[in-house]
This record gives sequence, structure tokens and C-alpha cells, in this order.
Amino acid sequence: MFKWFCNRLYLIGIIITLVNLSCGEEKSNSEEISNQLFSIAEETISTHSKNGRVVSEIEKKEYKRVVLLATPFYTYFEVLNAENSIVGLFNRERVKKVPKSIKSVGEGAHLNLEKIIQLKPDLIICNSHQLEDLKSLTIPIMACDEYLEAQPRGRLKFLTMISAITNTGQKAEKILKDFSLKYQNHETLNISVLKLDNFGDGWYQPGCNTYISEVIRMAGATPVCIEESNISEKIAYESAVFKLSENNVFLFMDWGKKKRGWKKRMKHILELDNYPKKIVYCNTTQTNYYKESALNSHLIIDDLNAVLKTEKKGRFFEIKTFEK
Amino acid sequence: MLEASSIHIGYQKPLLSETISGSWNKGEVIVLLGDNGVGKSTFLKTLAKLQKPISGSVELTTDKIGWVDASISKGVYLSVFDFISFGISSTKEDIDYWFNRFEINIETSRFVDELSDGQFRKLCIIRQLLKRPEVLFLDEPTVYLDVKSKKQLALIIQELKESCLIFCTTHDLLFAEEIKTSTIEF
Amino acid sequence: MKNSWLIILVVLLFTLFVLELILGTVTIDIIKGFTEFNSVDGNILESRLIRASVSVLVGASCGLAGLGIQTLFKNPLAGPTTLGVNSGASLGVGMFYLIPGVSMHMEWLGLSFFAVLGALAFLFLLIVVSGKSLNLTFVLIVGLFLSYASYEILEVLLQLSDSVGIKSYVFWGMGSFNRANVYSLIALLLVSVMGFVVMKKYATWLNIYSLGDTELKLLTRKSITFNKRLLLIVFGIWIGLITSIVGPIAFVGVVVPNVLKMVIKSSNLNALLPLTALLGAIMVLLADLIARGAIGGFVLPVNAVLSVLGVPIIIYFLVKRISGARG
Repeated sequence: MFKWFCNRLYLIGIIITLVNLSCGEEKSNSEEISNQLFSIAEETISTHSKNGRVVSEIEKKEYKRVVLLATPFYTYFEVLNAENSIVGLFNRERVKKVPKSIKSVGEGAHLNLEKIIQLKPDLIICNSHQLEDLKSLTIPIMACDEYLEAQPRGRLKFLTMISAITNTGQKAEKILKDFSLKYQNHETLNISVLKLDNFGDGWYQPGCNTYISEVIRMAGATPVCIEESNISEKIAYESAVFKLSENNVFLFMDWGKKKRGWKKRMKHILELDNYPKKIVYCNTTQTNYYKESALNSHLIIDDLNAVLKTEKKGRFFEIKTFEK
Repeated sequence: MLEASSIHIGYQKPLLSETISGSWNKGEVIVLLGDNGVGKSTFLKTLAKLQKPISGSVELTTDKIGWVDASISKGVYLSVFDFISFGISSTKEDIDYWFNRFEINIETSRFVDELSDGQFRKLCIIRQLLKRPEVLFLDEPTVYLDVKSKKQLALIIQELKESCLIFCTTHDLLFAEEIKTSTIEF
Repeated sequence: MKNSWLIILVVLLFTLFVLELILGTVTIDIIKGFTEFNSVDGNILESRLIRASVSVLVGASCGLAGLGIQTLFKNPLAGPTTLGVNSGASLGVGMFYLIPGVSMHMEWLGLSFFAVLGALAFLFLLIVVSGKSLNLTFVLIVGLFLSYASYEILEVLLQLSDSVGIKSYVFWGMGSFNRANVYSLIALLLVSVMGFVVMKKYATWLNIYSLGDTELKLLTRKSITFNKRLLLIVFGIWIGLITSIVGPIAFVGVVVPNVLKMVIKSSNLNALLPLTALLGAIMVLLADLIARGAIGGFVLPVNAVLSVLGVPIIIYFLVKRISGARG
């Protein structure tokens, strides 16, 4: 029995140490981090982790056969008219209007290494979690976690990186200039917006340093979020119920392919006694939300602002009310 | 061949107040009689050196020991052939001979947990006999056996004792009467 | 009869190995692949060769380790997961990816180092906690609790980690044969050979062991506790290494020995060892062929394919077995 107790004590010890370790390392950063994620030098382009470690380094030149595993970068190629440099695309089916010349190289959790080798790429662009699977290849790799950039304006900067490998520098500069001007300052609305998800295993709330929180903030509203966090975090049932009972506008980002059945997808919230009477609804698939969030965040922000103000249906968002 | 000098048997506490001493040899069949829990099995284990005595010593001049009790495990995928061949080099003739003597007729590829309790008990005895033991310990060998088989076992014990020292615990007094050369009462 | 099984399995394994080299979602020129090593065909062939070898070694190892652990625990449904060593490997990988800073400062040690370290730490804990007498029921319970504990710690870590870490960890957990390289192949080969030799050496001892401690004491002079501990350590290292290279795939270790024991109607390890190694290799190779999309055209996770292949087989044989046994 005593041994058992010692054993448990040891485990508790591990947990406490780990908690302290991780908390100590947590940094707050609400500024644009895309500046830190990559750097372009005279002859090289290097990518970095959030902590500043060099993740990958490639020669700065025009690449003609790119395999793109970090799918969101496709938008930048598209706007630069450089789709022709891409030979293979991961999760190809989820991107609209892809030319036939671009082949699929796997989807979901599965990378098709053979397809990649067969396409004879001169560059692979991926997320850092895919690096382990690509270790055996001898092809130049650029690993960049674009989704870490929470600032809508910051996301534009990846355009510079893509232009550096597609030889479209001038075009990129022009687009960057045009797009930066499109962001307008919205008046403060005195509305707080709450986004909560329940995927069946608990409640998740976005951190304050996430893209969605930034969008809400830039639309003039106040996001109800977790301080100093840059991911969606699990929260307790009680605090979820408590947050829902406060007078917030509830934001529901619907991941369903079609609008139909959206009430089923938010049944965890509608099952509660005090569910919000008014929600802001967005179907991410139909509105092409994720693709637009790479370059056209201003559209999303303006739309959210307008919908919150006028309560009329917008391109991305609409207000739905329930009768009690 | 087997000599016990003033042994105290038991686990932490002695089971019996007095010590046991004795010397036994081939040709003897010693039957142990007594109520449940008096220490018959513990005594056998001590003699077979499966367990240390609390005090005293046991001298055993052979390591060809046969042991029959209910502790052997049936295993989930143990076949009859596995059961009578693991760790023993037994010939086909030997196996056939003993199967005939015990009048069991089963395929050796069957799993032992498909056998009846009586068949399994006979198989346990056969396994020990295939070792060609010089000392044989039988802890309640007649459990599950029918009258005919008991007679057969008694006969076999009579034949075996020429080359073997046999200890046997039983509650079957008729069977005991048939096989014993001496008894120890607990 | 057992020899004819052996021949059938060897032929089957060889056929599947060749198929693994020929088939894939991409068609290649095999002859060109062998002659021109730096061509595209050569590169693809090389990756298939590594995958095929890893599949064979992992399958054989999982089967053998499963067989050994089932014999040791006298429980036909025990398997590589019973010891909890694979949870140790998972925890090690979790620490690598999920604790901020660890993968940054210690990347040079590599992922496998952390997985093996985690597995060995759990193994050590298991052996220490189970004490002098090495009561296997207790080992079983401790293994189970270690698994729970590692699961809970990982939950905590997942809460604290950033999205990059979480993604990396989750992807690792799905298991993949893509990550194997020549070095992990050599390590796996060495440990597998060691494991096989130890099991071969202890086959007779384990046979008697399955009859109970009394028989073991009567027939052998070796120390039971020492042997049990030695075997536990060997199996632990083995499973830890497999988990660290291809992720948690352990199902093979339960299916293969059960099926074989029922087919050849024996628990004799001397006969089972080569058969288990072969059938395990065949199963994983087949699963990888399907998983790579070479058969059927769909690309799936290896774990999912293994479960789909294995579950019906094991249920069929278990039902057959239970209805056959008397009680």
C-alpha cells in the first residue's frame, strides 16, 4: 500500500513539475508573428519556430516544381498567378478550382511519399509536424506554420515569402500595398462576442491571441477569450455554462459542408437551459472562410462589423434568433 | 533414498506441534491420513523440496520426482500432446502404453480444457509417470476417478512400487487399504 | 504438418514482399529501379524496400513479443500493450512534442530517443514496483495504472502545449511507416534478433512454465523470478523500440499467436516461434499494402487496416474456441 502511495506521489510530482515548466515558458504575444516565422536573406530563405529556432533553410531562387503540403499557401500562389509552379497539392479536394496539372499527394493524416517522389519536386512546402515523415527524402524542404499567425494583417506577409520563390516580387509588393489599405478602423461596438465549441469531448474556447479573436476585435467587438493563449483551450463545463449565461453574442462557426443540419451541429449548446437567444452564424465551407482568411481578412472583418451593427445577412455571417 | 530429520512443517507458523522424522526407500507406499487442513499436503511439499521446512532438513537422493495434485494448469491452448511432452522426452510407445493402461482414448491434438475432469486427472497422472519417477507424490489422486479407474490406479501403484517410493494422501480408506505398506496419521 | 505450414507461410511472405515492391499508387519500372539507383524509380523502390523491411520486422516482432507476454501472463488476450511500455513510449514522445522548449533544446537527441527513454522508464518502474517476488498479477495491474497515468499526464500536456506540438503529437499517434529509415531499420533488426534468440533459448522453459510453478520447480533448476524478470525486460525493450519507430501498433501481437495456436493445435513455443514471426510479418505487410493504396486504391492508416483485418479473425477463432471448450 505504501509503495502504491509512493508511486502515485511520484506521478503527482511529475505533473506539478511539468505544469511549472510549461507555464514558465508561456509567452504573451499579440503582435504579428509572421515576421518571426520566416526571414529572407541575400541568398537564402529560412523559416523559424515561434521560439526563434531555425526549422528549415532553402536557397533563394525560383522554384518550378513545388509540392505544397501546407495547403493554405495555395491562396498566395493563386493571387500571384504562380499556380503553374505547383505540381502537387495536399488536401487538393478541399481547394476550389485547382488546375488539372496539379496532382493530389495525399490528404488528412496520410502523406503519399511515392507520389511526391514521382513528381520530382524541387521544393516541398509543409507544416513542421509533417517534417518527421519527410526526413527520408533528399528534396529541399521549407517548413512554415502559417496558422500560427493570428493577426489578419500579418497573414499578408506570407505573400513576400511565396513571391521570393516564384520570382514575383514586384507583383507581391503591389498586392501587399493594395491589400494593406483595405483594412479600415471600425468604431467600438460595445458588444462582446463569445465563441465556444463542443466536439463531444468537452468545451473549447479560443485564446485571445488567435485569429478569430483578432477578427472580432478588429470588427469593433470584444472577444470573450482566454488571456495570453494562442490556441483553442479546453474549459470546464461550469465555466462554459457561466459564460453562456452572460449577455454575449454567441458566434457559431459551422464546419458542416452545407447549411442544413446546423442546429444538430450546435446541439450541445441548444441542449443547455440558458442557451443564447441570438447567435451569429457562419458556414465556413460555403463562404470559403478559411481560404479568404489568408488574404482577404478585411472582408471578413468588415462583414462581421456590418452584421453586428445592422443585423442584416452578410457574405460570411448572419444573425439567427431563437424564440423561447 | 528419502530422509527427513526432525522437520517442522508449515509456512510462517508450524502446522504441527511435534517434529517429524523418518527414512523411506523404494518399495514403500506410504499413505497419509487425516482431516482437511492438518498439513498432509504441506508435508508432501516439504519432502519433495517444493517448500522449505521451518526447521530440520530433508535429504533426497534423486531429482526424478513425480507430483500429482490439483495445481497443474490447464492452459487455454494446451493440447494433450503438449501436456504430456513439455519438458519430458517421452516416446510414442510409452504414451500409448499408459493411455491403454488408463483406458483413455483421446486424440493427442485435442485441447486439454475440452477433456472431462476424470480424463484430465488421468492425464496428470500419466504425465508424472512418463517422467519415470523414483519418488512419486500423489496428493488426492482418486478425486474425479470412477470405481474402475481407482482399481486400475491401485494396480498400477502396486506394480510401480518395485522401482519407486510412493507417498499418497487420500480420504478413500478402501483405496488406502489396497495400496499402503505403511501409514502416517496426522 | 507444421513443416507444411512453414513452407506455405514462407512462400506467402515472399510473394507479399515482392508485391510490396511492385505495387503502389505509383507505377514504376522495377528493373530500372534496381539498375539506376538515382532515378525516380530507384528512389521510389528504395522507399518501398525500407517500408517492406520495416513491415516484416515490426510484424514478426509484434507477434513474437505478444506470444511471449501471453505465455508469461498465462492470458491469451494479453499483448504488447499489457506491460504499459508502449504508453511509456507515447509519454516520451508527448514530452518531446508537447512541453514547450523540449523539442527546441533537445532536438539533436531525436524523437526515437525520447520514445525509447519513456518506454525504458516505464519498464524500470514496472520492475521496481512489482518487487522481489514479481507477482505477475501485480505487474499487470501496475502496467494498467501506468497506462492510465501516462494517458492523464498526456491530457495535461495537451492542455499546456501549443498547436504545433499538438499537431505533431497527434500525427505521431496515428502510426506511420513513412518515418522509418535505414538506421531505425538496423536498430529494429538487432533488437528483433536478440528477442528471437532469447525466446528460442527460453522456449522449453516457457513451455513448462505454462504448466505451473510446481512442474517448473520439479524439472528445472533455474530461478523462476530471475527468468521472468529477464523476459519482461527483453519484451519491454522490444515493444518500446517498435512503438518508437512506427507508433503504437500492437494489435498483431494479440491476433497472430491466438490464431496460430488454434490452427496448429498446440502451445509448443518451439514450433510456434517461426510460425508466429512469419504470420505476423505477413499480416503487417498485407496491411501496409492495403494502407499504401496498392490494393484497393484507398489510402488508409495502417492501424485501421490492421484492426479491420484482425478483429473478425480473432472473434471467429475465439467463438470457435469457447464453444469447443467445456468450461
